[in-house]
Amino acid sequence: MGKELKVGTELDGDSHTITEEKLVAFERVVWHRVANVHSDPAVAKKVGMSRTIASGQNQLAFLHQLMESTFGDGWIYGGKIAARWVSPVYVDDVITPRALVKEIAEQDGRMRVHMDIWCTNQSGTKTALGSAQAYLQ
Amino acid sequence: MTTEVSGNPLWDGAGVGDQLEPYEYMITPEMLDEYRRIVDNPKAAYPTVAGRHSLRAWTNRYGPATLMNVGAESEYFNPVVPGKRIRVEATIVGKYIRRGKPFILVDSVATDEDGRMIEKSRLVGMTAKAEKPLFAEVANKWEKN
Repeated sequence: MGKELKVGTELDGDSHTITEEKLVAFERVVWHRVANVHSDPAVAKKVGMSRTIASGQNQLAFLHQLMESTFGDGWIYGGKIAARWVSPVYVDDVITPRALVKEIAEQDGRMRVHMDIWCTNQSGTKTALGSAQAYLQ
Repeated sequence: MTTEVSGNPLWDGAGVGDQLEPYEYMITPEMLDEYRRIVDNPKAAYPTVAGRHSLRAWTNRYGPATLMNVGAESEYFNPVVPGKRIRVEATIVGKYIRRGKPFILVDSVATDEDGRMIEKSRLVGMTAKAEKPLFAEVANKWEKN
């Protein structure tokens, strides 16, 4: 962890450009799902969407990247996250995971960081909102 | 709180406390590598994010496109070891109506073949109103903006 954390510290993760290829691959890599609104434009149009949208889990993966790069094993062994998807994410959007440290408190003899988390797109619109916890190393 | 959503057999049929059929699967080293490429994270420890344990358990019983993932809550204990089988057990733990929309909560617990706890996850799912296809409501809201 390269940054000293205190209440009020803001964390920015890497920005991720959404591609059609990766949207489809995400739907198949671990659980090979049938064509859906995330992977097939025809399915998306059938329910009234103009195009495919990224799944919320895709954004969750980006939030994981921020947590893993910041906390390492403090996230991997004992991390906790809750998120809601609040705006659509489309192909060519650039999504950045972010966090704000709200509290650092002792838990089980270790220091645990409590954060607000969110993702923004290239316009600054929040696309996911939630909270996360991880141990300081 | 449980409220009837008239004409939606999924809502009416899914009971709080219902256990969904357990299932097992394996994440191979190749799958982990591919997941890490897809999410631009060469050290990703939990490819299970794409596995959507709770939703998969729900889908195994009720079929695809019957519950929309509108939120997720997860707690992580031990990273996935590629090549080890993962067992998922899931339970419907809640149903409620909020702003006229029917939500269903599904909890899952994932352990590997050595008994290591991998993660506990909750799916916050929204099912369709009887007269509309799943996703139609969010499509209508999001595409207007």
